[in-house]
Amino acid sequence: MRRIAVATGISLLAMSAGSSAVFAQSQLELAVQQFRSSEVVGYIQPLGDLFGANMNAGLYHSAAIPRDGFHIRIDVVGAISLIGEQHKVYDATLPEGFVPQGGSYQTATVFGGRGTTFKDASSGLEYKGSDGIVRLSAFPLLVPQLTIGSLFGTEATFRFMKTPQLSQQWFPTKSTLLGVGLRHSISQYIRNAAVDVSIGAFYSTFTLGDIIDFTARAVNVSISKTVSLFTPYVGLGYERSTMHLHYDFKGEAGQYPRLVDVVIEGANRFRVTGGFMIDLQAVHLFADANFGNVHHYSGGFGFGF
Amino acid sequence: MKWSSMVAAALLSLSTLGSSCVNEGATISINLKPIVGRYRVGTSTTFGGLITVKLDSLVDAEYKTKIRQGRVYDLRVRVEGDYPGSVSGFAAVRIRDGQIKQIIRFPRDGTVAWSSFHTTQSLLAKSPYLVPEPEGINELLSALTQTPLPDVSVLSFGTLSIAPVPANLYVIVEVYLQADAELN
Repeated sequence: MRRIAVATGISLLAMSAGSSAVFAQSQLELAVQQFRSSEVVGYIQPLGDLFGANMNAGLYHSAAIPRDGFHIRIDVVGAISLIGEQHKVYDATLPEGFVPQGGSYQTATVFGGRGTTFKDASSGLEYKGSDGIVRLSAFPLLVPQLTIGSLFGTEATFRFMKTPQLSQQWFPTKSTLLGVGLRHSISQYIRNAAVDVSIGAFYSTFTLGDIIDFTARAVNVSISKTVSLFTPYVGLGYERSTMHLHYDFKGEAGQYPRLVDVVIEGANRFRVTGGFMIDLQAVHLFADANFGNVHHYSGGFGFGF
Repeated sequence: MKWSSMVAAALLSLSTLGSSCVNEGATISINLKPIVGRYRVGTSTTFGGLITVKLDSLVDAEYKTKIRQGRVYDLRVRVEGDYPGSVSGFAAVRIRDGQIKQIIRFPRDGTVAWSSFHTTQSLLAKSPYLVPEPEGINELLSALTQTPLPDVSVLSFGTLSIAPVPANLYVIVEVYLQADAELN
């Protein structure tokens, strides 16, 4: 088991090495830079919603935290948010003079299909929204997580990852993730508690490519009960996430470089989590479902002792 | 090391999940910098002028060779300077050494008061004084899909109704273009 733990550590380190190879920006970044600040928000909002929800996923797999004693655990947490029809279109702004029927004009987001061509009824002139870049039914995120404890029933969680731009993918793969959190056992204060209860807070940043930064904050309360190898758990969380876009607007030939600097709030605020963990001594497996404005799932495996 | 290789491969492949789901032939709609021709009328009752526009300069370098189609989403005409008479004219384009083709006439028939153009007349706003000419517009749009992007001459000619013509009168023609550029 220790070999597995070491191997995983090496793999995560390899992933974290961060090659300095220079690749062009991703298609997403290049496309975004053609949007004015007033236009970009709707097009890319779903990415902020889904990515933000994924960043706050998989923060705990049990509410049990020993009061004292050293333990360390490395997890590989996968999160996946479902992309619904509402994530595929948005109400776009038309240039001044176009009069949309019904007051709005729906076209594709980054996850949508073909952009809508709007035809002005009176003049016959047309204006088209950009096409979506990818067709996905779910949006994934994979992060490594290190947990160390315990001191007075408290453990610390860290996330770190640094990856290079692999090639001109649709999505930037050059990234730096930093996250830190604390969890504290509440059940240690309750005599003969029937279940484990803990509270936690987590903060993370995710720099993605050259123009996108995410920030996520979450607080939660979790309850779990360990029966033999199995630990079912539930939790309630409040969270915020933001996507910060910063780039030079390159539309209209970039004749007038104008810094676009917008902050987009992720949709998820509250989440209800339900899942279970299987503890096979040094190895454990976990999976949970999360319900909120963004429905998503997380799961993974970990090693520790 | 077998384990480490497997896990690293799994992590990296998952981190790029979705790359195979890129919309085939997806395009991004780019608003080009407007073409603005500003033509001095002079002191005669006829006027004419030409500007040369490097289409290459209107498009971000990343997409210069990737434009698949374009559209005109507005044509506007306005004037500067005071003049008591009326005006008629047209704007046209010429791609490289090709034919001159009109893109817009103003007005449809006869002449219209110069002062009417103190307020910008827009095709999108369905100005009664502007008439689009599809042949010239299509010529301009076809130029957008050429590689390399050609230079385009944008001309305007017209007449004023009465002399004398004051100095510092200008006719300004603006062309608003949108282009669909391939992402892949």
